[in-house]
Amino acid sequence: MNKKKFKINANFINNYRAYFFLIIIMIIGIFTPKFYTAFNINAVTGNGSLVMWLGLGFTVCLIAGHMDLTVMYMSTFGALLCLGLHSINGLPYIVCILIATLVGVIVGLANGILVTKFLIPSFIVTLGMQFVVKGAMYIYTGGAELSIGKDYAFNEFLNEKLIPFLPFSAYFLITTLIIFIIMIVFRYTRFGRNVYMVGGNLETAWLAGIKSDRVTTLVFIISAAACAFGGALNGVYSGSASITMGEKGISPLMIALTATIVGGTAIQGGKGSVVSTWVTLIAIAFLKSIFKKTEMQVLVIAVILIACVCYETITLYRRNKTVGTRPNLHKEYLEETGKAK
Amino acid sequence: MVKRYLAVLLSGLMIMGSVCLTGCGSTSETATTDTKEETTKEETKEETKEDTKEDAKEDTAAGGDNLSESKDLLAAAEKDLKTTDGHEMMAAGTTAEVPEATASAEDLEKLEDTDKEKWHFYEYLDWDTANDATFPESPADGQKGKKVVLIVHGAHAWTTCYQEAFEAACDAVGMECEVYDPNWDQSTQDGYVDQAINEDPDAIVVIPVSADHAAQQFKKICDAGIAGFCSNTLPEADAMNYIMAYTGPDDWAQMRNLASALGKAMDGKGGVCYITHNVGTSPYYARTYGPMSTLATEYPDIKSLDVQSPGFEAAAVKQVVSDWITKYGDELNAIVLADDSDQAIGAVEACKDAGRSDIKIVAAGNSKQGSELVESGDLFEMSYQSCQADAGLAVRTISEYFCGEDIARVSYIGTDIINKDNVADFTPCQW
Amino acid sequence: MSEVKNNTNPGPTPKVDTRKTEINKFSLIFNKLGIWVIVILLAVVGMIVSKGDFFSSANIQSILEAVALIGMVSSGLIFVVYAGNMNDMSIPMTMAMSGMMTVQCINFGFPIALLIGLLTGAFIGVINGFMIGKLRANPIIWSWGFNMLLSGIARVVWGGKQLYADSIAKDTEYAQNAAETFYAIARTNVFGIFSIMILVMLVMFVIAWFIHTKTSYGQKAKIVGSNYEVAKFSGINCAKVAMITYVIDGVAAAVGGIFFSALRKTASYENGTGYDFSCVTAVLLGGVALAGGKGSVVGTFGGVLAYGILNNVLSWIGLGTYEKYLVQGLVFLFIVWLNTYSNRKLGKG
Repeated sequence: MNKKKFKINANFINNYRAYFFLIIIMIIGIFTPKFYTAFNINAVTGNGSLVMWLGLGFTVCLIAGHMDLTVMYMSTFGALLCLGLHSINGLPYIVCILIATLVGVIVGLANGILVTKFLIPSFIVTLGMQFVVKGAMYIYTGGAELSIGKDYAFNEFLNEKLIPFLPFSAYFLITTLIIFIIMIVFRYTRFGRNVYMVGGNLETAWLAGIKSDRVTTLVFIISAAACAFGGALNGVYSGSASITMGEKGISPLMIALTATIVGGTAIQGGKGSVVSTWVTLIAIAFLKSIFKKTEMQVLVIAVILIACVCYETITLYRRNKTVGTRPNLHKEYLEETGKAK
Repeated sequence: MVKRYLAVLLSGLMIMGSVCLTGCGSTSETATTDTKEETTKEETKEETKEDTKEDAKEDTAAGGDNLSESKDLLAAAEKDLKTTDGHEMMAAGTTAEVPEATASAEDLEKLEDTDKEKWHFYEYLDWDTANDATFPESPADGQKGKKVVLIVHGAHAWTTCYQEAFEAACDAVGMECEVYDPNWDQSTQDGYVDQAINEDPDAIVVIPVSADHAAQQFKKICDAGIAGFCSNTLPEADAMNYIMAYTGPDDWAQMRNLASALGKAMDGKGGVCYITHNVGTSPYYARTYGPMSTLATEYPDIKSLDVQSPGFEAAAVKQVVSDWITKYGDELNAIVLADDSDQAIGAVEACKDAGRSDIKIVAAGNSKQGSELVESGDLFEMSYQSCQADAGLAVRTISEYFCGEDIARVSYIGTDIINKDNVADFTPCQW
Repeated sequence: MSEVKNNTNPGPTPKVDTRKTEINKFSLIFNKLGIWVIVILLAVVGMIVSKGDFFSSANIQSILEAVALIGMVSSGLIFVVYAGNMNDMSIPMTMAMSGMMTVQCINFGFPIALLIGLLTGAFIGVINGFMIGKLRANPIIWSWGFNMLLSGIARVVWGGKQLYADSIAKDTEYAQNAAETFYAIARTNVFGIFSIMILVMLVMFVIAWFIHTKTSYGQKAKIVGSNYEVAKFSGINCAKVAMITYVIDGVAAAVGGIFFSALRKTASYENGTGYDFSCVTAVLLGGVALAGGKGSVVGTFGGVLAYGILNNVLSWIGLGTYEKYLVQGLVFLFIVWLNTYSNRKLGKG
């Protein structure tokens, strides 16, 4: 069945660019002093985990053909809720995290209903929802920062290495586990395939009898809930949370979007993988310990993003130029580049 | 299909690689787990360092050669280094008396905003010394040749000025320094703290992005057996358990002085509005509630009308102030700002447009824009908070620590009030 | 056509139009007047809350001043949204770069510095236009990435410093005058009432209105925005339209950026942060559809006004900064929903 010729060409590299990105970063890492220490790997993956949740939420929504700009504020809100409920109301952490996730579900539901029932484009809905979530955060905390105080037990558990011989914190392992679960859901369940269908072509999906409204709403719920859950864990992991998190400087939302695009998710929807985004985000996290100056980080990440966008755009432009105008030439061109079926 | 294999293969490779290479970096591995061992190790390391240096300079007198040289360097730097506006850069810091708190932190929270007592734990670093962590002992062999990592809060003109002053001061006293800039992001700063620990320097200086988060960051540094210093931004009081020393401006004192002067100029009556710093940070409390509580206790007839946090954009501040002027009219007599650059410009423009030159505007900080406004008389007065002296004091404290001297756990840089009469003393501005 | 048909088939009764003729009155009103309904509503609320001070010249001036910068940028951004490119995320860096270039070149005299600032905006617009119009890159992703690239370049080149016009200007009278003129443009009042900023915003809206309604470009942009394929096959040079769109947008953002740094007295890479979203909010409030091809400049002006009046009214009510965010978000969602709803009811959606 699968007798595809294994060929290393531009197309192959493009398809697996997230993995190549990671490999290149890892190779450069060999020449960087104190890169491959257990402490560094643990710290880098742990600190990069928050963006992985954002990337997860963003990718899931983008696969369904929608943009979710609320992810960043949702994760901050989750962190604030979790810490606030624990330190002010004295609830145990499990309950706090559950409540934070529940709030995420509610926001996701609101997003989904506004998009599917009120037929407002998702970009606008989530843009407005950003303000709503931000205002809600301010009202909840009164602007103050929240921290875990003196209760270090759960914080230490998340910082601990769950598996003794692996230099990964429990927080990172939980993140990875959930990302792989969502990958399996998206790849092997009916719901997951429906999401790809809805993202690829809404009309066709509707004609095929998929309840597209329900699927879209669920995707928004998954995105917001995952971000709230991840944010809550991050609040405990890092020990404190404040409203302005991520508002200044390089926004985590920007990094999440970059990773989603570099990871190969199509902006129109219907194509993409949660794991690719995850791999790219790991690469970006490690990149930060190679390029230590912020301006260099911004520049390098931007160049990678621009390179990916340019490559895709130019290939598409070339193909569009040949499509329809001279079919024979197009066929030849396809055979030449090895894309013909 | 290939993708999946690749994913599995890669994660396997990553894990294998990291496991194999963990062996190479086993020293820092122990650093996280066993503090005591590390400190002893560090000490031995310092000793060997000293030995090699002594060997290199056999012709000079033996014993504490680096120390005496370091002390000379420090003394020379103190004399020579000057700030841009011609003041001493590395002057000794001052300490403030901490009055007894009248109630516990929870009880104080219930008081009115205008009550001075409420802000006790915000104002003073009043921490329980009994809970102090064990700090790494000073090597007492001089600061020369030591490595310091500075983690600032984010890119800003102020930060650039601070960084340059810090580097210059380090250079003058013979320390190496590296600067990380997390761009105002707390989680990025966490990453940099980890990275700094990974590099195993002799001291780490942090300007915390968030006061509440400082405890976690310094706990990490302290656990790794590295001396952690906090500069400029006030951390929460409990964080002091893990901080070797705090140096910075006494924001509360200078805002209180400013407010007293303002109250006097207002003849003890009128209405005041406040524009805040970023909500939740330490200057937010110091620069809004400091003056508010001072005015309320010293001049009870002065009313506080409104508090807004429009951020740092001149246009947004302008709108808020214009709205205030139309809303309160003659009731509004003074405005207290948390920033003297963008916020001051916005407020001054709004008052000018409305023809209300009688409104007294005071601000914190001394930027170029601010002192120009003071010079032209648009800004009534502002506080003098030397950025370069701030950096200088931090370097001085670290050097003293390396020289084995006793250092004050909390020390402040000198402050002053700038008004139209003395503005010339404080120009050209540092940033 | 219909006459011919009637002539050939005189016998059968004419077909009754079974389509729904009753249109929701409210939808019609809202669709015709758009955001101005909201503006009037907000003004009435403002009147009540402020007990009449709302229409004092000081208050109106303050509202206009507050939205002047957003208005300037929005008057260019409307074309981007109108031509179906959703949003230009490179606005913050366009503003910052043009401000920085103007300050950097202040030694050549004010007019030339201004020109260079505007050219910077136009140049960024040309690159955007080429990539998005000619090569058909995704507008949001491209402009987002380009914004990041520009920000990285600006940080590396200027080392994160702030630029002050009067310290960059050489010690000659000519250069110092230029620096002073630069500061003055954001501070001078014309006729004692309007500041230059308000005047520039109004002029820019008039120009935008002229381009939008009276030129062939405006008509082409509408077709490109509503249906790209149709536009392409009807012989419109889509790449050229996109190029003009982005150049207009870039120049408008540059004007905004220059006034921003003149008002702030400094130029740095962080000028204009957040303007990408706040401007598109104003444009969308004005009834420009995100999908493109719908909306008007007059509506956008209304949207910009609504943005300012809402803020003003909320401070009259006495809400803090925190609650304002919540109310702004809800009002934004409500107005956009009204827009889409009325369009759908009228069968235009």
